[in-house]
Amino acid sequence: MRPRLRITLALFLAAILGVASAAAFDQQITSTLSAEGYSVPRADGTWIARRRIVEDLRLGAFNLLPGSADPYYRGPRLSVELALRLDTDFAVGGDESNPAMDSAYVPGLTPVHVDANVANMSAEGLWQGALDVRAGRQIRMGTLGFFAFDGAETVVHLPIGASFATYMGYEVRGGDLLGWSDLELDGTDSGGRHGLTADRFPDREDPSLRLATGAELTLSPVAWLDAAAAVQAVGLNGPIASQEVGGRMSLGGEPILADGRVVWNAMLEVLGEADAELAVTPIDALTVAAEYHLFRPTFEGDSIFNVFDIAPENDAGGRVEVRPVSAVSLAGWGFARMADGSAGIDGRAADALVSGAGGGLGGTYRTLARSLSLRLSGVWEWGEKRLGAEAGAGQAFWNRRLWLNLRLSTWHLDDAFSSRLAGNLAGYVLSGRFTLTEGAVVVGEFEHYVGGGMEQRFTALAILEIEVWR
Amino acid sequence: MKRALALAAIAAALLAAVAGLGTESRGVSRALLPPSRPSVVDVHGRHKPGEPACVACHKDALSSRWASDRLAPTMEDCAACHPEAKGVTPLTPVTEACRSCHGPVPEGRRIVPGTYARPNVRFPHKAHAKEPCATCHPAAAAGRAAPPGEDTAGMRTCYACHLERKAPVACRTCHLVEADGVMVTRIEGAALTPPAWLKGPTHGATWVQSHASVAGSDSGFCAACHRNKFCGDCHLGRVRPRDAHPGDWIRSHAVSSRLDSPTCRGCHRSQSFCLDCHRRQGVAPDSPKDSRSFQGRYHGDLSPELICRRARTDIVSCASCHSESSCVSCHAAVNPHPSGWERRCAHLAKSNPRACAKCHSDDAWRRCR
Repeated sequence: MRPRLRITLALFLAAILGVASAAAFDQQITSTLSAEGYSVPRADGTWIARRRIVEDLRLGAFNLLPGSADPYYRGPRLSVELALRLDTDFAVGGDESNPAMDSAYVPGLTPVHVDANVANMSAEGLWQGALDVRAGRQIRMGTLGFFAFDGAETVVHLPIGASFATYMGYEVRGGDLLGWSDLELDGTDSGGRHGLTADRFPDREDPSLRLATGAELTLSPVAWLDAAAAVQAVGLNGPIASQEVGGRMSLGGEPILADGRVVWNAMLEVLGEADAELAVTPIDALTVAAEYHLFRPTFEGDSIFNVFDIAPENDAGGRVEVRPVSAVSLAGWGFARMADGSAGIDGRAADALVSGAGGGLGGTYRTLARSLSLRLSGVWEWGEKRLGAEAGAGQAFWNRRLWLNLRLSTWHLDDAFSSRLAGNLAGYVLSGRFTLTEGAVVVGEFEHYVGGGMEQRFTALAILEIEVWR
Repeated sequence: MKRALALAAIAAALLAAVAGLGTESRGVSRALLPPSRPSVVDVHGRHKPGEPACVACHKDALSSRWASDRLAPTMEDCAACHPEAKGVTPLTPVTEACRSCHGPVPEGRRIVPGTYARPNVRFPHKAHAKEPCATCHPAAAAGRAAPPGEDTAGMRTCYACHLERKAPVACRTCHLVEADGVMVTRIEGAALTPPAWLKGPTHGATWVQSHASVAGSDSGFCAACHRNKFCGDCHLGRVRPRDAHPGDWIRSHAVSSRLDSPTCRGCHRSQSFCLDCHRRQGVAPDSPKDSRSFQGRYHGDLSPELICRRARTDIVSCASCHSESSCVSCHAAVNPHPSGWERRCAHLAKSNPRACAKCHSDDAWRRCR
C-alpha cells in the first residue's frame, strides 16, 4: 500500500478509535446516488452510449470533544470527514478498457473507478484559539486557487488580524490509488501505462508522488483591507512541477470595493493570472463594476505545452447588477478580448485591437416557492460565435415538497474549426425534485435537444440524496 | 455640454427612482426575527424615556442567555405600577382601563394573548449587558412607538459593533448552525444570502461567473454556509451542473471551450478529463482505430498555419485533443518557442529538464542550463 495512503488511513482510524469513547458527538452520513443515461454522437454517425451510476458517500463526525456541541462553546473543536465516490459506466465496452485490444483501447477509460475526495481530521481553535490543524486528504482554496493534497496544514491566527497557513503533502493525482484528476496540475497524461508498450500512447506516464509545500499569509487588520500573499511549489522530491507566487488585495467595502489578484509562475517566469475589479454600489439596489482578467495558460513542469509561444487572454469588461428586492436580481455584462497582434484565423488583420467580445443580459426571481430566470448571451472570437437564450420557470407544490422546473433554450453556433458543429439548436429540460421525508430527496431530469444537423439528443438523470444526522 | 447635462439628469432620475429599492437589506430580516404580536399596543410610546428603566419591566434581560427567552413583562410585572392589572386573568371582563394599554377591544370580546415568535438567531443579552439598551432598541429607549420586531438592530449594526469591540465576527457567533458548524440558511419563509455590504454583491444573476473572486479571497466565508460537497458537486462532480453547462452541452462545448466562456479550467483538466473522452469519441489524433471518425480531418481544410495561430491564443483547447507527440511531429522542425526564449529557458531547464528532453538532445538542453 502506498505510504501516503497508509498514513491517511492510519490517521483516520486513530481519530475514530481515539474518540470512540468520547461523550456524545454528532455524526453525519450523506449519500448521493446518481444514475444518468445519454449518448454522444461521433462524426461517422455512430453513437457512444453512456450509462453511468455515481455514488458519493460522505461520513462525518463533529463536535468530538466533550461540551463542544454547546452553542456558546468557545474551546477547540475536533472533526473527522471522509468522502468516497464510486463512478461506474455500464456502457463501457470490454475492448475499450482492455489494454490488449489495440484497435479499441482508450487509456484512462475504466468501467469502475473509486476515489476518495477527502479523508481528514480537523482540529480548530487549539492553543486558545490561535491554531487550526488539518491532516489527511484535503482540498484547500486560496490565493493560488484550488490544491488537493495528502498531508497536513496548520493555520496560526495572529492577534493583529492576520493568519499564517503552511501546508505540506503529496499532490492528489488521477493515477493514484483512490486518486482523482479534477484538480491536478494539467499538462501531461499521468494516468498510468498499465503495461502498454512504449509505442502505444507514448505520452501517457505512470504517476509519481509529488511532494508539495506552500504558505499563505493573510492580513485583515481593519474592515476595509483584506490582503494575502502566497507561495507554493510542487515536485520538491524530483523535477519541479510548479512554482507559483501570488497575492491579492481587497480595499474598501461599501460603496466602493477594489479587488486585485496576481499569480506569477516562477518556474516559467511569466505572469499566469491577473484579475482586477472595481465595484461601486452607490445604493443597496445597484452595483456597477469594471473588470479586467488576464490568463496565460501554464502547465506542469514536465509538459512541453509550456514552451510554446502562448498569447495570454486579455479581457476587459464590466457588469451592472440591480437588486430591487431580495428576490430579484437583474444583470447586464460585457467584455472585449484584446487581440494579440497576430492575424486571425478568420483573416483578421494583425493590427486589430479586439479579437473577440461577449455580453449578455440576465435576470432571476427566486423565492422558496417559485423561480423565474431569463438569460441572453453572446460570445464571439476569431470567427467563432455562440449566441443563445435561456428561460426557466420553477414552481413548488404540496408545501414545497415537490418542485417542478422547466428550462427552454435555443442556441446558434458558428465553429471555424468544424462546420459539423455549426448551426442552430433548441431544446428543453424538464426536472422535478421531491422531498420523500426529512433528509431524503429524489430528483429526476429529462433533457431533449434538436437541431444542428444531428439526430435528437436525450438525457435522463435521476438522483437520490439522503442525509442522516445522529 | 447640453448633452452631458441631459445624461446626468437622466442618471440622477434613475438613481432617484431606484434609491428606495433594496433598502430592505438595511432592516431586520423577518426570517431571522419573525414578528411578534404583543397584546399591548404602543407600550413604549406610552412611557416617558427612561421612566421606568428598561429592566424594571424586562426584569430578566440582563441575565438572559438565549434569544428565545421570553423577556416581555407579564401582567404581574405591569401591576407594580398599574394596580388595575393585578390579579387579572383571561376571564376578567375588559374595561376601559384594559383598553388603554391593549387597544380597542370590542364589547363582549376577550383580550387576545400576545404571541412571541422564536427568533432564529443566537443572542445572549447577558453578554451585552454593558451596552445601553438604546444601542439596539433606539425607539423603545426614546419612548417612541415602533412596529413589533422593527426596533431591533440589524446585522450591519451588530457586525460593526463586533468589529469595533473585537468581538467574534464568525457567522456562527449569531446565526443558527448545524452540528458541523454550517449555517442554517433555509428558514421558514426565506433563504438567507450574505448582504451586499459584507463582501460585495453575491448570489445574483451573474454569480456562477463571478463567485471565483470571492471564494478565492476568502474560502472560509463560503464555508460558513456551504459544505465541501456543495463546491465539490461542480468542481469535482461527475454530473453536469446545468447552470454552468447550458443548452445541449455535448454539442456546444467545443465552441464554448475555445471562447473560454464559461471558463473550463476551474473544474476540468485537458489532458485527463477532456482527452479521455475525445479519444473515445474518435476526435483525438491518437484515438483507437475503431473509434477514429475524422480520418485526421477534424480541422477540415484549414491550413496548419492558421490552426497554429489559433493555438497561440487557446492552447488549452488544443491540449484537450492533442497529446504532446502531436506537437513534436511538426515542431521538431518548426521552432515553437516565443522570441527571447533562449534568455528565459535556463531556469526551466534547471528546475525540470524533462520538458526540454522531449525534443532536444542531451547536449542541447544541457548547454542551455
